[in-house]
Amino acid sequence: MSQWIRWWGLGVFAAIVLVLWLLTNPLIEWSIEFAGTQAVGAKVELNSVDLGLNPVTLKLNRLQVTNPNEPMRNITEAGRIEMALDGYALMRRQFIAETMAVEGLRFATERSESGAIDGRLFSRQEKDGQDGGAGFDVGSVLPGMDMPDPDRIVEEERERLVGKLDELDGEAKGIEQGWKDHIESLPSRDSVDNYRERWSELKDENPLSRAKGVRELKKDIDSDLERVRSLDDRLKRDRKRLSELTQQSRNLPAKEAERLMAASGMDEGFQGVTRKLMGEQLSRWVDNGITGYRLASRHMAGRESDEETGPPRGEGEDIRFPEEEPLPGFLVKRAAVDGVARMGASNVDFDGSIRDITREPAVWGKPMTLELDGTDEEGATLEVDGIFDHREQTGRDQLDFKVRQLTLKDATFSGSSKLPIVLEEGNANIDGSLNVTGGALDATVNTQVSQASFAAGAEDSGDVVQRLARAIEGVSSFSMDLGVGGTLGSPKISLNSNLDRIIGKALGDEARAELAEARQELENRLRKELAPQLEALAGHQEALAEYEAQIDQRRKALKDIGP
Amino acid sequence: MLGILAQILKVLNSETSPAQIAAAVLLGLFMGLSPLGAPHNLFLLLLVLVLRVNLSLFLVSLALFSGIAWLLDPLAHSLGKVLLEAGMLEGLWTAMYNTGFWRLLGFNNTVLLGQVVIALLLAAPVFFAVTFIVRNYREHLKARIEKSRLMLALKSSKWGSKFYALYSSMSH
Repeated sequence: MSQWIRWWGLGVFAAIVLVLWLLTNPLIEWSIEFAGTQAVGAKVELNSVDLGLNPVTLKLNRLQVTNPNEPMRNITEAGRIEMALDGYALMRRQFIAETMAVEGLRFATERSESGAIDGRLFSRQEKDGQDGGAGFDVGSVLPGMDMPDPDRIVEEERERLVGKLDELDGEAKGIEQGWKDHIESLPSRDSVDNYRERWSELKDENPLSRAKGVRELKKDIDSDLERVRSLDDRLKRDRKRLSELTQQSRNLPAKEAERLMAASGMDEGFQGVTRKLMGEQLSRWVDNGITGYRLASRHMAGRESDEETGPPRGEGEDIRFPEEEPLPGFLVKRAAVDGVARMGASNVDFDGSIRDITREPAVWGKPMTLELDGTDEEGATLEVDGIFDHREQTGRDQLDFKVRQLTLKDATFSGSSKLPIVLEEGNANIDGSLNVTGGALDATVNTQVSQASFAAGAEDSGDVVQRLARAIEGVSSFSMDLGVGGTLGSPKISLNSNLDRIIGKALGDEARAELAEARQELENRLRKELAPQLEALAGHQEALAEYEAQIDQRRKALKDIGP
Repeated sequence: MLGILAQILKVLNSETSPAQIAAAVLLGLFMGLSPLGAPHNLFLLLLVLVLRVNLSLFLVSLALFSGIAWLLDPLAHSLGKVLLEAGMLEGLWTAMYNTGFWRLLGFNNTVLLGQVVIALLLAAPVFFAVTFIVRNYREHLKARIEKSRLMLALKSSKWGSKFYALYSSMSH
């Protein structure tokens, strides 16, 4: 027996177990950081981890989650997270926390060093447009300043417009080709000559045979005339359609010029100027909101099905079997949350709870819910309610928030060098609602700002900008309705504000005239660029006129036979 | 590397029983084919340390079978999935799933179960094959290899002489 036993091995084993035990906390810390970093695509860091065994508790000290789009900023940061774990469930490889306390939660905090990651294990492809936008220059929308370059717009839009015209041309070509076939089906000159010959021969016949022959000849000619008549109706329809197509193509440059100007917030009614003024800021808010939501929602519905690709090498798939009380692999039944949200000029202290946090809501059978309330020292209030239901394949998330009496100070509306706009102070009431169903986004944020005081620095700019600056500085209250539609991958932002009307009024007729001129120039450039396609379309109508003449000619020839 | 190779040769040439050598390979096979973090590996590690199996041979076997496990991963996943989804075994799996001990072992993971089953299937053939090879080596091959031209050439080469010195120091 002793030949098979190595007693000192027991000591080595005990030493290994001891080392593993001593390394438990760093191992947990490393695992959370590694898994978090892989999930987020930017550094997830912890200051330290404490695991207690009796009772089983886990404390995470200072958790920082970097914003992958802004590596010098955290999406969120928590001072301390403490949870009481179910030890028996842990033995069954289930992470079940009856309660969790999240303290000192903050959002969008500055980082001392970049949280960007790189390398084989953490490679993350940056998607276009995820860097918060390239910024927006207010000068591009204001008359009297840098107007957009029509050549550039034409260059960008050429392919699309030519495609559109080709589509119209294709339909016109189809009509023309159809007429080539129709014309061939008309009675030929030979048939007309044949009728004439028959008619001449009939003249020499006896009256009885002539009457019979005339009847037959008339029947044949009438049948051909009927075919010609049916083509008349078709010709009428096709001429009308061709005329519509030609008209559409003729109007295209003007319509497109108008649309392109409006799309850039440069229509003459100044619809959308506010959207352009706030474009950069808006895109950052929406981008941050969507990034945060996507990161959170990615873990709400568990791992996506590996049916087609199979699980990652070495990981396999955990198969579930019926249980008396099925529990998900990860579940926090109730998390008490407190923290500070920086909103406007205020630090809003909030607290509340998040219930039923799990990656397998279908197993747990309850959706995740969220309730937060907060106030600041100056009396602003915050209420947030949310329900995130991913029990079915199609997730349904609803988040509503309400902010009252929020003090705004030095909020940047436009960072343009030509027209920086800062809301020096104001009081805001904000109502927001976010609804995401199966990736389709429907969000609205309605903001009413009163007691507003703007500062618009346009000292070195031209007359129009100075007028605009004065108009903005005169605004004491305004409203903004932000809408976000589309999908999470491709959100569409809209913004309506009464600031548009105020700005339009301030800029007056002179500015309108200038914009009209710019629109005309763009239209002319488009017309010139699309001239070959427009001419080709007009040519089809001429071809149809030729076919009409041919029909008339055949009809006349048939009628002239006169039996 | 040379040290490990010398160790292996030393074991092959020693009086260690072929069964002990085969046991080392077998433990390497079981640990190598399972994911490193699998809980049952802690028990296997205890066996490796407490049972008088050759550690060098165990390490070589562990490295070899870890590589094979990586290659066999898709097969292990499919095998595990087939077994776990087999209707006739559902009662057994359900009973095990409702037991803390088996849940801790993670038997319901397709790759883990597949790899353990592959290891079990390979265990007997590998054990008998290693025993057979060791016996045959000692009885027939050892003397012939010692006298072979290749071995003589190896002993006279720079690296070969170094290796032989290492092997000799271990042998005595």
